[in-house]
Amino acid sequence: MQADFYHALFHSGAQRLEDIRGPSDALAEQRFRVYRNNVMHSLERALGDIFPVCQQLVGEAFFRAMAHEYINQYPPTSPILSDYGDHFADFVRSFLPAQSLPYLPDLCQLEHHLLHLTHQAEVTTLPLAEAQQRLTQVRNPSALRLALATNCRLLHSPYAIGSLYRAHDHATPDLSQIRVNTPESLLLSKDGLYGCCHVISAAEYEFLSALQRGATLSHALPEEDTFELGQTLAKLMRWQVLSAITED
Amino acid sequence: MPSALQQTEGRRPSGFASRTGVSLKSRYYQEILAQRPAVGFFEIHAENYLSAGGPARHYLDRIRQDYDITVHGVGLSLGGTEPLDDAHLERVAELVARIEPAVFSEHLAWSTHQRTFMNDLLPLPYTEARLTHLCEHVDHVQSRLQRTILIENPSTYVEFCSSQMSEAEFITELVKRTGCGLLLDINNVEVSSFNHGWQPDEYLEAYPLAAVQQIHLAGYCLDDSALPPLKIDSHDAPVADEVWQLYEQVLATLGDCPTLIERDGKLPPLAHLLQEAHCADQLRAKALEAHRAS
Repeated sequence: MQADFYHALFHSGAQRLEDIRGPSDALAEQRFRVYRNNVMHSLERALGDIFPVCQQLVGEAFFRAMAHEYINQYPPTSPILSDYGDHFADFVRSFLPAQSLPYLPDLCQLEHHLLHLTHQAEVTTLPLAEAQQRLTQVRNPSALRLALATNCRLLHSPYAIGSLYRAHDHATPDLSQIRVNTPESLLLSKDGLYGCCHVISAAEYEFLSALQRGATLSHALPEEDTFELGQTLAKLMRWQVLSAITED
Repeated sequence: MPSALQQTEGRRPSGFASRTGVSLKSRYYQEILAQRPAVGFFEIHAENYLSAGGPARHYLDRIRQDYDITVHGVGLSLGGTEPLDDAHLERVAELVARIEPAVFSEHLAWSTHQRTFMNDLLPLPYTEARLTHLCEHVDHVQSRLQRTILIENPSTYVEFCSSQMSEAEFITELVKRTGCGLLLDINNVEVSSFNHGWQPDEYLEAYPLAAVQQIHLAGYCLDDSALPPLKIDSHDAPVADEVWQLYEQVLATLGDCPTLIERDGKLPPLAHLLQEAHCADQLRAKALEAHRAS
Protein backbone atom coordinates (compact mmCIF):
# COMPACT_ATOMS: atom_id res chain seq x y z
CA MET A 1 0.00 0.00 0.00
CA GLN A 2 2.75 2.45 0.98
CA ALA A 3 4.49 2.06 -2.38
CA ASP A 4 1.22 2.66 -4.27
CA PHE A 5 0.44 5.71 -2.17
CA TYR A 6 3.92 7.08 -2.80
CA HIS A 7 3.70 6.43 -6.52
CA ALA A 8 0.32 8.15 -6.76
CA LEU A 9 1.65 11.20 -4.88
CA PHE A 10 4.27 11.89 -7.50
CA HIS A 11 2.33 10.80 -10.60
CA SER A 12 -0.84 12.77 -11.10
CA GLY A 13 -1.94 10.41 -13.90
CA ALA A 14 -1.51 7.34 -11.71
CA GLN A 15 -4.43 5.00 -11.31
CA ARG A 16 -6.70 5.73 -8.36
CA LEU A 17 -5.66 3.94 -5.22
CA GLU A 18 -8.05 1.05 -4.70
CA ASP A 19 -7.56 1.15 -0.96
CA ILE A 20 -8.56 4.77 -0.46
CA ARG A 21 -12.02 5.31 0.91
CA GLY A 22 -14.09 8.49 0.66
CA PRO A 23 -17.77 9.32 0.56
CA SER A 24 -17.57 8.37 -3.15
CA ASP A 25 -14.83 7.34 -5.62
CA ALA A 26 -14.63 10.86 -7.00
CA LEU A 27 -14.39 12.33 -3.49
CA ALA A 28 -11.77 9.80 -2.47
CA GLU A 29 -9.67 10.97 -5.42
CA GLN A 30 -10.31 14.61 -4.55
CA ARG A 31 -9.22 13.99 -0.98
CA PHE A 32 -6.13 12.13 -2.04
CA ARG A 33 -5.18 15.24 -4.00
CA VAL A 34 -4.98 17.14 -0.69
CA TYR A 35 -1.91 15.02 0.11
CA ARG A 36 -0.47 15.49 -3.37
CA ASN A 37 -0.87 19.25 -3.05
CA ASN A 38 0.44 19.37 0.51
CA VAL A 39 3.59 17.45 -0.42
CA MET A 40 4.32 19.54 -3.48
CA HIS A 41 3.48 22.91 -1.94
CA SER A 42 5.43 22.27 1.22
CA LEU A 43 8.50 21.26 -0.77
CA GLU A 44 8.13 24.23 -3.12
CA ARG A 45 7.95 26.48 -0.07
CA ALA A 46 11.01 24.78 1.41
CA LEU A 47 13.00 25.47 -1.77
CA GLY A 48 11.76 29.06 -1.71
CA ASP A 49 13.18 29.37 1.81
CA ILE A 50 16.52 27.94 0.67
CA PHE A 51 16.74 30.11 -2.47
CA PRO A 52 14.89 33.30 -1.46
CA VAL A 53 16.81 35.69 -3.73
CA CYS A 54 16.37 33.41 -6.73
CA GLN A 55 12.65 33.33 -5.97
CA GLN A 56 12.48 37.11 -5.71
CA LEU A 57 14.34 37.56 -8.99
CA VAL A 58 12.19 35.23 -11.07
CA GLY A 59 8.90 35.75 -9.24
CA GLU A 60 6.96 33.23 -7.21
CA ALA A 61 5.01 31.65 -10.08
CA PHE A 62 8.11 30.96 -12.17
CA PHE A 63 10.04 29.75 -9.16
CA ARG A 64 7.29 27.33 -8.15
CA ALA A 65 7.09 25.91 -11.65
CA MET A 66 10.86 25.39 -11.65
CA ALA A 67 10.77 23.94 -8.12
CA HIS A 68 7.98 21.57 -9.15
CA GLU A 69 10.15 20.08 -11.88
CA TYR A 70 13.12 19.88 -9.55
CA ILE A 71 11.14 18.09 -6.82
CA ASN A 72 9.98 15.49 -9.32
CA GLN A 73 13.54 14.88 -10.46
CA TYR A 74 15.31 15.22 -7.13
CA PRO A 75 12.91 14.68 -4.22
CA PRO A 76 14.45 15.22 -0.77
CA THR A 77 16.31 12.27 0.71
CA SER A 78 16.52 13.60 4.26
CA PRO A 79 13.96 14.91 6.74
CA ILE A 80 16.27 17.86 7.36
CA LEU A 81 15.06 20.23 4.69
CA SER A 82 17.82 22.78 5.21
CA ASP A 83 20.04 20.14 3.56
CA TYR A 84 17.79 19.98 0.49
CA GLY A 85 18.66 21.52 -2.87
CA ASP A 86 22.17 20.15 -3.53
CA HIS A 87 21.43 19.75 -7.24
CA PHE A 88 19.29 22.83 -7.67
CA ALA A 89 21.94 25.09 -9.23
CA ASP A 90 22.85 22.44 -11.82
CA PHE A 91 19.18 21.77 -12.45
CA VAL A 92 18.54 25.48 -13.06
CA ARG A 93 21.48 25.53 -15.49
CA SER A 94 19.71 22.95 -17.62
CA PHE A 95 16.17 24.25 -17.11
CA LEU A 96 15.25 25.64 -20.53
CA PRO A 97 12.79 28.35 -19.43
CA ALA A 98 15.57 29.87 -17.25
CA GLN A 99 18.15 30.11 -20.05
CA SER A 100 17.52 33.82 -20.49
CA LEU A 101 18.91 34.38 -16.98
CA PRO A 102 22.38 32.87 -17.31
CA TYR A 103 23.49 34.19 -13.89
CA LEU A 104 20.71 32.30 -12.07
CA PRO A 105 22.57 28.97 -11.52
CA ASP A 106 25.58 30.72 -9.96
CA LEU A 107 23.29 32.78 -7.76
CA CYS A 108 21.54 29.57 -6.59
CA GLN A 109 24.93 28.04 -5.86
CA LEU A 110 25.82 31.08 -3.77
CA GLU A 111 22.57 30.91 -1.80
CA HIS A 112 23.07 27.21 -1.17
CA HIS A 113 26.64 27.76 0.09
CA LEU A 114 25.49 30.56 2.38
CA LEU A 115 22.70 28.50 3.92
CA HIS A 116 25.13 25.66 4.44
CA LEU A 117 27.54 28.05 6.17
CA THR A 118 24.78 29.34 8.43
CA HIS A 119 24.01 25.80 9.59
CA GLN A 120 27.66 24.87 10.12
CA ALA A 121 29.22 25.20 13.56
CA GLU A 122 30.72 28.61 14.24
CA VAL A 123 34.54 28.68 14.31
CA THR A 124 36.73 30.85 16.46
CA THR A 125 38.37 33.76 14.65
CA LEU A 126 40.57 36.61 15.79
CA PRO A 127 38.65 39.62 17.09
CA LEU A 128 39.61 42.84 15.33
CA ALA A 129 41.65 44.28 18.22
CA GLU A 130 43.58 41.07 18.73
CA ALA A 131 44.40 40.77 15.02
CA GLN A 132 45.60 44.38 14.96
CA GLN A 133 47.78 43.79 17.98
CA ARG A 134 49.34 40.65 16.47
CA LEU A 135 50.23 42.55 13.31
CA THR A 136 51.96 45.32 15.26
CA GLN A 137 54.15 42.70 16.95
CA VAL A 138 55.40 41.20 13.68
CA ARG A 139 59.17 41.14 13.36
CA ASN A 140 59.59 39.62 9.91
CA PRO A 141 56.64 40.46 7.64
CA SER A 142 57.86 38.23 4.80
CA ALA A 143 57.59 35.14 7.05
CA LEU A 144 54.10 36.01 8.18
CA ARG A 145 51.33 33.46 7.75
CA LEU A 146 47.68 34.45 7.83
CA ALA A 147 45.28 31.58 8.37
CA LEU A 148 41.81 32.04 6.95
CA ALA A 149 39.05 30.51 9.07
CA THR A 150 38.39 26.95 7.94
CA ASN A 151 34.80 27.73 6.97
CA CYS A 152 35.81 30.49 4.51
CA ARG A 153 35.09 29.74 0.88
CA LEU A 154 36.14 31.52 -2.30
CA LEU A 155 33.87 31.72 -5.32
CA HIS A 156 34.26 33.20 -8.73
CA SER A 157 31.47 33.82 -11.21
CA PRO A 158 31.29 35.46 -14.65
CA TYR A 159 28.27 37.32 -13.24
CA ALA A 160 27.82 39.89 -10.49
CA ILE A 161 26.04 37.42 -8.21
CA GLY A 162 27.45 38.84 -4.97
CA SER A 163 26.14 42.32 -5.76
CA LEU A 164 22.80 40.86 -6.83
CA TYR A 165 22.56 38.85 -3.63
CA ARG A 166 23.55 41.72 -1.39
CA ALA A 167 21.09 44.09 -3.04
CA HIS A 168 18.37 41.83 -1.64
CA ASP A 169 19.40 42.68 1.92
CA HIS A 170 17.02 45.60 1.41
CA ALA A 171 13.29 45.17 1.38
CA THR A 172 13.09 46.89 -2.02
CA PRO A 173 16.30 45.92 -3.83
CA ASP A 174 17.71 48.47 -6.24
CA LEU A 175 19.17 46.48 -9.12
CA SER A 176 19.55 49.46 -11.47
CA GLN A 177 23.24 49.98 -10.66
CA ILE A 178 24.21 46.31 -11.00
CA ARG A 179 25.92 45.30 -14.23
CA VAL A 180 25.08 41.65 -14.01
CA ASN A 181 27.46 40.54 -16.77
CA THR A 182 30.49 41.75 -14.79
CA PRO A 183 32.59 38.92 -13.30
CA GLU A 184 32.81 38.87 -9.53
CA SER A 185 34.98 37.16 -6.95
CA LEU A 186 33.52 36.44 -3.55
CA LEU A 187 34.69 35.50 -0.08
CA LEU A 188 32.02 33.57 1.83
CA SER A 189 32.37 33.51 5.59
CA LYS A 190 30.27 33.57 8.68
CA ASP A 191 29.23 36.85 10.28
CA GLY A 192 28.18 35.79 13.76
CA LEU A 193 25.55 33.11 13.25
CA TYR A 194 24.89 33.69 9.56
CA GLY A 195 26.67 32.95 6.29
CA CYS A 196 27.62 36.15 4.45
CA CYS A 197 29.38 37.10 1.24
CA HIS A 198 31.94 39.80 0.54
CA VAL A 199 32.68 40.98 -2.98
CA ILE A 200 36.46 41.03 -3.46
CA SER A 201 38.78 41.91 -6.34
CA ALA A 202 40.35 39.32 -8.63
CA ALA A 203 43.74 40.08 -7.03
CA GLU A 204 42.31 39.56 -3.55
CA TYR A 205 40.82 36.26 -4.74
CA GLU A 206 44.28 35.19 -5.88
CA PHE A 207 45.84 36.33 -2.59
CA LEU A 208 43.27 34.53 -0.43
CA SER A 209 43.53 31.36 -2.53
CA ALA A 210 47.26 31.33 -1.85
CA LEU A 211 46.68 31.87 1.88
CA GLN A 212 44.25 28.93 1.88
CA ARG A 213 46.99 26.81 0.31
CA GLY A 214 49.23 27.76 3.26
CA ALA A 215 51.53 30.25 1.52
CA THR A 216 53.44 32.82 3.58
CA LEU A 217 52.42 36.43 3.12
CA SER A 218 55.32 37.18 0.78
CA HIS A 219 54.51 34.19 -1.43
CA ALA A 220 50.81 34.93 -1.45
CA LEU A 221 51.13 38.50 -2.72
CA PRO A 222 49.66 38.83 -6.21
CA GLU A 223 51.57 40.71 -8.88
CA GLU A 224 48.71 43.01 -9.87
CA ASP A 225 49.46 46.69 -9.31
CA THR A 226 45.96 47.20 -8.06
CA PHE A 227 46.50 45.03 -4.99
CA GLU A 228 46.77 47.05 -1.79
CA LEU A 229 47.94 44.79 1.02
CA GLY A 230 47.04 47.26 3.77
CA GLN A 231 43.49 47.69 2.59
CA THR A 232 42.97 43.97 2.12
CA LEU A 233 44.34 43.16 5.58
CA ALA A 234 42.10 45.80 7.11
CA LYS A 235 39.09 44.18 5.45
CA LEU A 236 40.04 40.66 6.55
CA MET A 237 40.42 41.86 10.14
CA ARG A 238 37.15 43.77 10.05
CA TRP A 239 35.29 40.79 8.59
CA GLN A 240 36.90 38.61 11.28
CA VAL A 241 37.83 35.83 8.93
CA LEU A 242 41.40 35.25 10.21
CA SER A 243 41.83 32.38 12.62
CA ALA A 244 45.56 32.86 13.28
CA ILE A 245 48.47 35.18 12.52
CA THR A 246 51.84 33.49 12.93
CA GLU A 247 55.48 33.94 11.89
CA ASP A 248 57.64 31.13 10.58
CA MET B 1 11.79 2.96 31.59
CA PRO B 2 11.18 6.28 33.42
CA SER B 3 8.04 8.17 32.51
CA ALA B 4 8.34 11.12 30.19
CA LEU B 5 7.57 13.61 32.91
CA GLN B 6 10.08 12.45 35.49
CA GLN B 7 12.99 13.15 33.22
CA THR B 8 13.04 16.92 33.55
CA GLU B 9 13.85 16.65 37.24
CA GLY B 10 17.34 17.80 38.06
CA ARG B 11 17.58 20.33 35.27
CA ARG B 12 15.22 22.98 36.67
CA PRO B 13 11.72 23.33 38.06
CA SER B 14 9.29 22.38 35.33
CA GLY B 15 6.97 24.97 33.80
CA PHE B 16 5.81 22.30 31.40
CA ALA B 17 3.37 20.69 33.79
CA SER B 18 1.87 23.84 35.23
CA ARG B 19 1.56 26.35 32.43
CA THR B 20 0.57 26.17 28.76
CA GLY B 21 3.30 26.49 26.13
CA VAL B 22 3.53 27.82 22.58
CA SER B 23 5.41 26.88 19.40
CA LEU B 24 8.92 28.32 19.13
CA LYS B 25 9.44 30.17 15.84
CA SER B 26 12.54 32.05 14.73
CA ARG B 27 10.70 35.35 14.44
CA TYR B 28 9.93 35.19 18.19
CA TYR B 29 13.53 34.57 19.39
CA GLN B 30 14.45 38.20 20.12
CA GLU B 31 11.17 39.01 21.79
CA ILE B 32 11.35 35.94 24.02
CA LEU B 33 14.85 36.83 25.18
CA ALA B 34 13.99 40.50 25.69
CA GLN B 35 10.58 40.07 27.34
CA ARG B 36 10.86 36.64 29.03
CA PRO B 37 7.11 36.04 28.63
CA ALA B 38 5.30 34.03 31.27
CA VAL B 39 4.75 30.80 29.38
CA GLY B 40 5.13 27.21 30.48
CA PHE B 41 7.41 25.97 27.71
CA PHE B 42 8.30 26.23 24.05
CA GLU B 43 7.94 23.42 21.55
CA ILE B 44 10.34 22.90 18.65
CA HIS B 45 10.25 20.67 15.61
CA ALA B 46 13.28 18.42 16.01
CA GLU B 47 14.20 18.58 12.33
CA ASN B 48 14.62 22.38 12.44
CA TYR B 49 17.16 22.20 15.25
CA LEU B 50 19.69 19.59 14.17
CA SER B 51 22.34 21.95 12.79
CA ALA B 52 25.80 22.17 14.31
CA GLY B 53 25.55 25.97 14.38
CA GLY B 54 23.55 28.96 13.22
CA PRO B 55 20.71 30.91 14.81
CA ALA B 56 18.39 27.95 15.52
CA ARG B 57 20.91 26.21 17.75
CA HIS B 58 22.15 29.41 19.34
CA TYR B 59 18.72 30.76 20.30
CA LEU B 60 17.39 27.38 21.38
CA ASP B 61 20.29 26.99 23.81
CA ARG B 62 19.69 30.47 25.22
CA ILE B 63 15.95 30.01 25.55
CA ARG B 64 16.48 26.59 27.14
CA GLN B 65 18.30 28.30 30.01
CA ASP B 66 15.01 29.84 31.15
CA TYR B 67 12.29 27.60 29.79
CA ASP B 68 11.30 24.00 29.44
CA ILE B 69 11.39 22.74 25.88
CA THR B 70 9.37 19.98 24.27
CA VAL B 71 10.75 18.32 21.14
CA HIS B 72 8.25 17.30 18.47
CA GLY B 73 9.67 15.08 15.73
CA VAL B 74 8.23 15.34 12.24
CA GLY B 75 10.64 13.15 10.28
CA LEU B 76 11.09 9.72 11.85
CA SER B 77 8.31 8.19 9.73
CA LEU B 78 7.28 5.84 12.53
CA GLY B 79 4.16 4.73 10.67
CA GLY B 80 6.13 3.56 7.62
CA THR B 81 6.78 -0.02 6.62
CA GLU B 82 10.53 0.41 6.10
CA PRO B 83 13.22 0.29 8.79
CA LEU B 84 13.84 3.61 10.52
CA ASP B 85 16.63 5.90 9.35
CA ASP B 86 19.08 5.25 12.19
CA ALA B 87 21.43 8.06 11.17
CA HIS B 88 18.55 10.49 11.50
CA LEU B 89 17.44 8.96 14.79
CA GLU B 90 21.00 9.41 16.04
CA ARG B 91 20.89 13.15 15.32
CA VAL B 92 17.52 13.43 17.04
CA ALA B 93 18.92 11.51 20.01
CA GLU B 94 21.82 13.98 20.27
CA LEU B 95 19.37 16.89 20.31
CA VAL B 96 17.28 15.19 22.99
CA ALA B 97 20.37 14.51 25.09
CA ARG B 98 21.52 18.14 24.77
CA ILE B 99 18.16 19.82 25.36
CA GLU B 100 16.68 17.37 27.88
CA PRO B 101 13.14 18.14 26.75
CA ALA B 102 10.15 17.73 29.05
CA VAL B 103 8.77 15.31 26.46
CA PHE B 104 9.67 13.98 23.04
CA SER B 105 6.76 13.31 20.70
CA GLU B 106 6.26 11.98 17.18
CA HIS B 107 3.39 11.17 14.86
CA LEU B 108 1.15 8.30 13.93
CA ALA B 109 2.08 8.82 10.28
CA TRP B 110 4.73 8.08 7.69
CA SER B 111 6.73 10.53 5.60
CA THR B 112 9.59 8.59 3.98
CA HIS B 113 9.48 5.94 1.30
CA GLN B 114 12.64 4.43 -0.18
CA ARG B 115 14.67 7.37 1.13
CA THR B 116 12.34 9.98 -0.37
CA PHE B 117 11.16 12.35 2.31
CA MET B 118 7.78 13.86 1.49
CA ASN B 119 7.58 16.53 4.20
CA ASP B 120 4.02 15.60 5.03
CA LEU B 121 2.39 13.39 7.63
CA LEU B 122 0.82 10.65 5.54
CA PRO B 123 -1.97 8.34 6.69
CA LEU B 124 -1.80 4.59 7.15
CA PRO B 125 -4.41 1.84 7.16
CA TYR B 126 -5.21 0.59 10.63
CA THR B 127 -4.24 -3.04 10.11
CA GLU B 128 -2.52 -5.59 12.31
CA ALA B 129 0.51 -5.56 10.00
CA ARG B 130 0.93 -1.77 10.21
CA LEU B 131 0.43 -1.88 13.96
CA THR B 132 3.26 -4.39 14.25
CA HIS B 133 5.57 -2.13 12.21
CA LEU B 134 4.60 0.93 14.22
CA CYS B 135 5.14 -0.83 17.56
CA GLU B 136 8.59 -2.01 16.44
CA HIS B 137 9.49 1.54 15.45
CA VAL B 138 8.20 3.06 18.69
CA ASP B 139 10.09 0.41 20.72
CA HIS B 140 13.23 1.17 18.73
CA VAL B 141 13.03 4.92 19.36
CA GLN B 142 12.15 4.50 23.04
CA SER B 143 15.08 2.21 23.56
CA ARG B 144 17.50 4.55 21.72
CA LEU B 145 16.25 7.66 23.55
CA GLN B 146 15.90 5.78 26.83
CA ARG B 147 12.60 7.47 27.51
CA THR B 148 8.90 7.08 26.96
CA ILE B 149 7.85 8.95 23.84
CA LEU B 150 4.43 10.40 23.05
CA ILE B 151 2.59 9.57 19.85
CA GLU B 152 0.21 12.07 18.28
CA ASN B 153 -3.08 11.12 16.63
CA PRO B 154 -3.16 12.29 12.99
CA SER B 155 -5.47 14.55 11.04
CA THR B 156 -6.51 12.69 7.89
CA TYR B 157 -8.39 13.32 4.67
CA VAL B 158 -8.86 9.73 3.51
CA GLU B 159 -9.61 6.39 5.12
CA PHE B 160 -8.54 2.96 3.90
CA CYS B 161 -10.74 0.04 2.85
CA SER B 162 -8.15 -2.31 4.34
CA SER B 163 -8.36 -0.85 7.87
CA GLN B 164 -9.29 -3.56 10.37
CA MET B 165 -9.88 -1.33 13.37
CA SER B 166 -10.78 2.24 14.24
CA GLU B 167 -8.09 4.84 14.84
CA ALA B 168 -8.86 4.87 18.57
CA GLU B 169 -8.60 1.06 18.76
CA PHE B 170 -5.33 1.17 16.84
CA ILE B 171 -3.91 3.76 19.26
CA THR B 172 -5.17 1.79 22.27
CA GLU B 173 -3.28 -1.27 21.04
CA LEU B 174 -0.17 0.80 20.37
CA VAL B 175 -0.13 2.06 23.96
CA LYS B 176 -0.77 -1.43 25.32
CA ARG B 177 2.07 -3.00 23.35
CA THR B 178 4.77 -0.32 23.61
CA GLY B 179 3.97 1.54 26.83
CA CYS B 180 4.29 4.80 24.91
CA GLY B 181 2.44 7.90 26.05
CA LEU B 182 0.08 9.95 23.93
CA LEU B 183 -0.04 13.46 22.63
CA LEU B 184 -3.70 14.19 22.03
CA ASP B 185 -4.09 16.74 19.25
CA ILE B 186 -7.64 17.94 19.73
CA ASN B 187 -7.63 19.90 16.49
CA ASN B 188 -6.78 16.66 14.69
CA VAL B 189 -9.73 14.94 16.37
CA GLU B 190 -11.98 17.74 15.12
CA VAL B 191 -10.48 17.75 11.59
CA SER B 192 -10.59 13.96 11.08
CA SER B 193 -14.05 13.66 12.62
CA PHE B 194 -15.43 16.35 10.35
CA ASN B 195 -13.80 14.89 7.26
CA HIS B 196 -14.90 11.31 7.89
CA GLY B 197 -18.24 11.88 9.56
CA TRP B 198 -17.10 10.55 12.93
CA GLN B 199 -18.48 11.88 16.20
CA PRO B 200 -15.66 13.52 18.19
CA ASP B 201 -17.36 12.47 21.44
CA GLU B 202 -17.38 8.83 20.39
CA TYR B 203 -13.78 9.09 19.23
CA LEU B 204 -12.70 10.44 22.61
CA GLU B 205 -14.72 7.82 24.44
CA ALA B 206 -12.86 5.05 22.63
CA TYR B 207 -9.48 6.80 22.84
CA PRO B 208 -7.15 5.83 25.76
CA LEU B 209 -7.22 9.20 27.54
CA ALA B 210 -5.37 7.81 30.55
CA ALA B 211 -2.16 7.64 28.47
CA VAL B 212 -2.30 11.32 27.42
CA GLN B 213 0.64 13.36 28.69
CA GLN B 214 0.30 16.39 26.45
CA ILE B 215 -2.40 18.14 24.44
CA HIS B 216 -2.02 20.15 21.23
CA LEU B 217 -4.47 22.88 20.33
CA ALA B 218 -4.26 24.41 16.87
CA GLY B 219 -6.30 26.05 14.14
CA TYR B 220 -7.55 24.52 10.91
CA CYS B 221 -8.78 26.01 7.67
CA LEU B 222 -11.93 25.07 5.83
CA ASP B 223 -11.64 24.13 2.16
CA ASP B 224 -15.14 24.80 0.93
CA SER B 225 -14.17 24.37 -2.71
CA ALA B 226 -14.40 20.67 -1.88
CA LEU B 227 -17.93 19.27 -1.71
CA PRO B 228 -18.63 18.31 0.99
CA PRO B 229 -16.13 20.78 2.50
CA LEU B 230 -12.92 19.56 4.11
CA LYS B 231 -11.17 20.74 7.20
CA ILE B 232 -7.43 21.06 6.60
CA ASP B 233 -4.99 20.84 9.50
CA SER B 234 -3.17 24.04 8.59
CA HIS B 235 -1.84 25.31 11.94
CA ASP B 236 -2.21 28.80 10.55
CA ALA B 237 -5.20 30.12 12.45
CA PRO B 238 -6.33 30.66 16.05
CA VAL B 239 -7.77 27.65 17.88
CA ALA B 240 -11.38 27.19 16.74
CA ASP B 241 -14.38 27.37 19.09
CA GLU B 242 -15.32 23.72 18.66
CA VAL B 243 -11.74 22.72 19.52
CA TRP B 244 -11.91 24.77 22.72
CA GLN B 245 -15.15 22.98 23.57
CA LEU B 246 -13.62 19.56 23.00
CA TYR B 247 -10.65 20.66 25.10
CA GLU B 248 -12.93 21.50 28.00
CA GLN B 249 -14.54 18.09 27.64
CA VAL B 250 -11.16 16.34 27.76
CA LEU B 251 -10.04 18.43 30.75
CA ALA B 252 -13.22 17.47 32.58
CA THR B 253 -12.07 13.85 32.34
CA LEU B 254 -8.36 14.38 32.92
CA GLY B 255 -8.51 17.19 35.47
CA ASP B 256 -5.44 18.79 33.94
CA CYS B 257 -2.90 18.16 31.20
CA PRO B 258 0.16 20.01 29.84
CA THR B 259 -0.98 21.88 26.74
CA LEU B 260 0.58 23.52 23.70
CA ILE B 261 -0.82 26.24 21.45
CA GLU B 262 0.59 25.03 18.14
CA ARG B 263 1.12 27.49 15.33
CA ASP B 264 3.23 27.02 12.18
CA GLY B 265 1.85 29.37 9.54
CA LYS B 266 0.56 32.97 9.18
CA LEU B 267 2.42 33.69 12.40
CA PRO B 268 0.73 36.36 14.51
CA PRO B 269 2.51 38.58 17.05
CA LEU B 270 3.73 36.39 19.93
CA ALA B 271 1.25 38.15 22.22
CA HIS B 272 -1.64 36.51 20.33
CA LEU B 273 -0.28 33.03 21.03
CA LEU B 274 0.34 33.97 24.66
CA GLN B 275 -3.27 35.12 24.88
CA GLU B 276 -4.46 31.72 23.62
CA ALA B 277 -2.12 30.02 26.09
CA HIS B 278 -3.67 32.15 28.83
CA CYS B 279 -7.17 31.01 27.75
CA ALA B 280 -6.00 27.40 28.00
CA ASP B 281 -4.57 28.07 31.47
CA GLN B 282 -7.89 29.49 32.63
CA LEU B 283 -9.77 26.43 31.39
CA ARG B 284 -7.20 24.18 33.05
CA ALA B 285 -7.56 25.98 36.38
CA LYS B 286 -11.32 25.72 36.17
CA ALA B 287 -11.22 22.02 35.30
CA LEU B 288 -8.72 21.28 38.03
CA GLU B 289 -10.87 22.99 40.61
CA ALA B 290 -13.95 21.06 39.49
CA HIS B 291 -11.96 17.85 39.48
CA ARG B 292 -10.72 18.40 43.04
CA ALA B 293 -14.19 19.30 44.23
CA SER B 294 -15.73 16.12 42.81
